[in-house]
Amino acid sequence: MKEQLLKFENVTYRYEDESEPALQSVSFGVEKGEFVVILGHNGSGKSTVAKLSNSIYLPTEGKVFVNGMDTSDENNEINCRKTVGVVFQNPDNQIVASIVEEDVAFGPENLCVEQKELRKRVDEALQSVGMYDYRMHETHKLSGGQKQRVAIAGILAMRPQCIVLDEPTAMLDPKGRREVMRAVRKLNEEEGITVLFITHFMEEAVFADRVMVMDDGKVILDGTPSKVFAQTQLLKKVGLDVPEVARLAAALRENGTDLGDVLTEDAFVQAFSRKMEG
Amino acid sequence: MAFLEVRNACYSYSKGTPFEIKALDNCSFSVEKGEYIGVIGHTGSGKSTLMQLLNALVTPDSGSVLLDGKDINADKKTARDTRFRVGLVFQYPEYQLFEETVSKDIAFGPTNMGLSAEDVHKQVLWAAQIVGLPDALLDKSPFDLSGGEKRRAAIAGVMAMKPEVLILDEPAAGLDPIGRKVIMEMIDKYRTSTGATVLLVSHSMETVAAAADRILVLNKGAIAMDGDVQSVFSRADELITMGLDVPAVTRIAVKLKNMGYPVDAGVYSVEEAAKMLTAVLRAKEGTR
Repeated sequence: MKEQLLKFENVTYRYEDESEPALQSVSFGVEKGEFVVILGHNGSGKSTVAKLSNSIYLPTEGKVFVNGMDTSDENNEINCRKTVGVVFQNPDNQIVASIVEEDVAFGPENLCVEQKELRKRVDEALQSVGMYDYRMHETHKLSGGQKQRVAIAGILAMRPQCIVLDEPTAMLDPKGRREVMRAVRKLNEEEGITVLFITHFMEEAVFADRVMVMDDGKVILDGTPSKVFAQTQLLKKVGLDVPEVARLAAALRENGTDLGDVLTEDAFVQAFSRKMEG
Repeated sequence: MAFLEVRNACYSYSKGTPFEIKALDNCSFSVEKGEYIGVIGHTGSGKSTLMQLLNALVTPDSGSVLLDGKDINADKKTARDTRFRVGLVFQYPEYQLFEETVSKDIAFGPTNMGLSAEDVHKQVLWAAQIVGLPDALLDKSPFDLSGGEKRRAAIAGVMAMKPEVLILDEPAAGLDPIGRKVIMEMIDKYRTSTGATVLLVSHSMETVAAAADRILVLNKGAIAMDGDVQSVFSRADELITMGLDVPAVTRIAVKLKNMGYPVDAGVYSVEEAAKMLTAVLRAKEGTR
């Protein structure tokens, strides 16, 4: 078994003044280099997972381990946050400086990274998300997708091993969403960064290694995208859906043509073309 | 005469400064009663400015906006009346809740219209019912509601004025699939019970495809396309160049068409696409 970068062990989390816990005895692990998507309706506990993953919240019961470090041990706090970086939904709440490269430098500066290394990290982080050409631009003039990529670069410059993104595309237009998805997939595939991606958009989950579905503070499904999206009824029951491509394949199956397990557009087109030629 | 018409409207921000930005560039279109129009455009394409133009929150630098043939910016009174007839729901409208109770918050608009207390009460209950807020919530503080309920209360506040034109800017942003569906059903309910015109601004091509009859595409402040759903989505390449998209099934149809298969690239719903692709497969089998 591969090394677990993030591990939740029977984690329960209760917000103050709430009678029902937001998370109920949740256990799961994320392996190094994995791309895991968490789906779930509003209030299912997804964001609570994000905040527990780098000790912004500490579990009410149970334990969260980052690279084997217990997040509830105060001495581990800095190291946990260095290891796992979190990107949130609203890009405007995450930008702190008025110039792009200054914003990206904010995190590593606070980690007392020395000047020469800082320059290198900022440049590399901006290149990774395709925003290097904008390094001297004013942050408030960027589009949503650009701001979100700058926020990701700001996390990258702290050299985390894992990035947790909490609905990073919810406020973006289609182009912004494509840009962010492309940047995140590249970080995972080329730089081996572990990704925990929280979203409401089913189609963003089809590229993941693994999909976890949350409902009522519990993980109710955990498996490959094709395995999870085969559970159409269950997903509907918990307020989710399957991607359009899967719905189209299901409709064709009802009409007597089985294209097999297709979740992405390219897979669909290939399977359809095989039927036509075969 | 069109019900609502925008004629050659231009609008710039920071006029006369080096930072002048042209938000709307010679926009013209007209809208009839009862139409359901989807408005799409990349961030910064001018959508929000255009929506504010339609209820006189923004006055065009040149050109005009006509409601029932009358310039809405002719005088202060007409502009004020227009704001009751053209209801605007901003993005994340729940941030605008401010009253002590949900019912007072919903009552704010109709009260300002000068309706009697009795009529205001009637319209509040009516709007709450359209958005599916149970009576028990009406006496609560809006700040004690859940996120989804807050959003519905805020939308009810606009619906309670019974505007003839309802404009919603990304009403489903940040919601899960069920939440999105509930919002879309609310809009349908409002339409069927009032016959109102609806303009829906959205970044979700699938949502627009499923709801609207007609689509307006904005690009860099200008109306780039205006037509029925099928004709707009059949121009996938142009939309993608503008930073937009087409529904996933349309992208599949375009790819298959480019590979030489006899498919209609303007298809935009899962049901239609399934029907069409099945027919294509059957026809192929028939030739064997």
